[in-house]
Amino acid sequence: MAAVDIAVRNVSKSYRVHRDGGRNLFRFRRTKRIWALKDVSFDVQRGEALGVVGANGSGKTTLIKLLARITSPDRGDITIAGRLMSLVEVGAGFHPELSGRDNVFLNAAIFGVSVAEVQKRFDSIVEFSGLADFIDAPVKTYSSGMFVRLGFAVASQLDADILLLDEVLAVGDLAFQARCMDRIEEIRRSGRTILLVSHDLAAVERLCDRVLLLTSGEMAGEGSPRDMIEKYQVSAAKCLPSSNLNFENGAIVLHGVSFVGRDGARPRTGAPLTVRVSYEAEVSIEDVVFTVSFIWPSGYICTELVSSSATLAGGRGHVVFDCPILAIQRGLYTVDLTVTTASGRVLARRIRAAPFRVDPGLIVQGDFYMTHSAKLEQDEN
Amino acid sequence: MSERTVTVIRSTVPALSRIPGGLRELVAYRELLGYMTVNRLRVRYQNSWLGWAWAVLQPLAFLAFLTVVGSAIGGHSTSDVPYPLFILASLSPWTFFATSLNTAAAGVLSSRSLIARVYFPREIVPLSYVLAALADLAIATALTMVALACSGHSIPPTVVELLPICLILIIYAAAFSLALSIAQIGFRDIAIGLPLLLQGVLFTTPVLYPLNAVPAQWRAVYELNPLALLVEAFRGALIGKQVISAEQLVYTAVVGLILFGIAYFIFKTAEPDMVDEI
Repeated sequence: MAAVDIAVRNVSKSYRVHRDGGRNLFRFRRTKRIWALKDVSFDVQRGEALGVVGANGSGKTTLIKLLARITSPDRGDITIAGRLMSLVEVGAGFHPELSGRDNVFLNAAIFGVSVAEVQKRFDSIVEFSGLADFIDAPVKTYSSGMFVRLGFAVASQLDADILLLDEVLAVGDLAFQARCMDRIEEIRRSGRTILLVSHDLAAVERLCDRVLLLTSGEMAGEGSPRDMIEKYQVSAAKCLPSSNLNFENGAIVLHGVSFVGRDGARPRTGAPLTVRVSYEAEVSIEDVVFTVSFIWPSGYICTELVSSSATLAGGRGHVVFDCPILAIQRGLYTVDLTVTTASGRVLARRIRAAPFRVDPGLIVQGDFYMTHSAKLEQDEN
Repeated sequence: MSERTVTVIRSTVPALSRIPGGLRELVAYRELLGYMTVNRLRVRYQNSWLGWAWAVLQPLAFLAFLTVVGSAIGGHSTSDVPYPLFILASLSPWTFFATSLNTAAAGVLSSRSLIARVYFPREIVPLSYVLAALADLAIATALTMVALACSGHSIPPTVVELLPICLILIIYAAAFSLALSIAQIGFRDIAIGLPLLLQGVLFTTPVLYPLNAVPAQWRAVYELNPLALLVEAFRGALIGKQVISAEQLVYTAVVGLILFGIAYFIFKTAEPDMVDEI
């Protein structure tokens, strides 16, 4: 039975919010109490990587601040076994006037790490940050990327039993992000406990064993990364605004899109899919192309369906796309609709026209299911 | 697997047990206190052209002003020690006390970004200002001794008394710095009113005049002020005159420790939620 490194029991935390400006002798200020966390309980096992996802204001950062002892709960208690290091904001403890070298020692001292221990790790910290040439320059002369690299290097090279990471992966360039990911994986494999808060859902899915979903300060779910991320995406999709852009004086208007799986079932990976786009054209238009784009939550295009060019008579109609096999993996996508002329001039566009949910079907790891078969061929001898 | 420390985080309940627990943790974080103190001094002089020379230049310049003004006014019966040195000997402990309070009260607010992002015992911030001010006191005291030696006074054996006197003085500075820096979060008035208050205290402390200048009928009340006793004792030890009794010194120490206990208790009770109010 694995030991529990973090035990959170019925934790609530409220803040006082001032409705207007300053209070003083001559002016009474009304305050309101808002609950940032309400009755949250969970355990983190030793060696586990727990992700926390949720919308802005759902209480993620408050949770991290409670665990890091930056602030204290109103009710409930938290028990932590081992040395905990928090990266709530990378390089938060840096002093701009001091050199990188001095800041490494200062930062470590803030985490309660002794000078002797830092000295042992100093070379590996500098090497990881890649700032060997600038280590004696004042930190105020660093670029924001250099700043962040040094901060992450300090926190990740010191031995902590438990590591709290709040949005630290969103910074730094691609190469450094990749190194951060590798380093976090390495820390994870070494059996240490990690708690990761991030809006980078791909990173959460890749790094975490289990995910906690917070909604307005309450626990909305706890489970496998895929399930929780999808649950979060569904709740987030409701808040996404759709925008309708018309060009050419509204010669053509996109009304909407619907998705149907096999025999009217919900779409799922590996099964057939039919996509219907409805439109209304004011006049007859020649050489029109419809495009349906599937967008990852990250904003990147996952894939597209493109119609062959056709001439529209005026009036309402549908474009029907038939996919024999839906190849993209389970998850929540958003769909953009675009109508262009054959030469590429945009006639109408509807961004985030609808959410598109793919249920689990043929499951493989990764993002796509590739239609395939396999047969064994043995050499005869 | 090695034994792990277990931390329990829960809502703050005022409890006297916070004092020993807090002090133990403070000892564990002594390196951070050292770093913060040294960094305050370094940052203060780092970008100035004169650099560390300022640390000596400031009391030296003050001494020069006093010499000029003192010789212009003249006629003060300040025993056999020259007037400027007589003043400097009591002004440096006073400045230490006043600077500690002023910088520590403002310091917690200016360390806001650090406090909001990392946990460490928060008392380290005000205490580091006290220790940084102590460095100035050491320099000024050394300078006073050099000046005394140059003006033909041998350095008296009573200078060893400076050690206990300074220790007690540090306790007072720490106690008031802790109390003011935590109160400052709720009442920003403190940073505004503190210099005024310190000016008032300056006149009830024998900094600019000797203790025996106080009328005899007021002396008993006057000597209840531990700070007055400490400043007078500091000067006495420097110029080689026994001015306060050992009992009086013990009295200041006891009052100081009680005040420190109260201030530390208040600080540690308010500490966990201070970040929400900054």
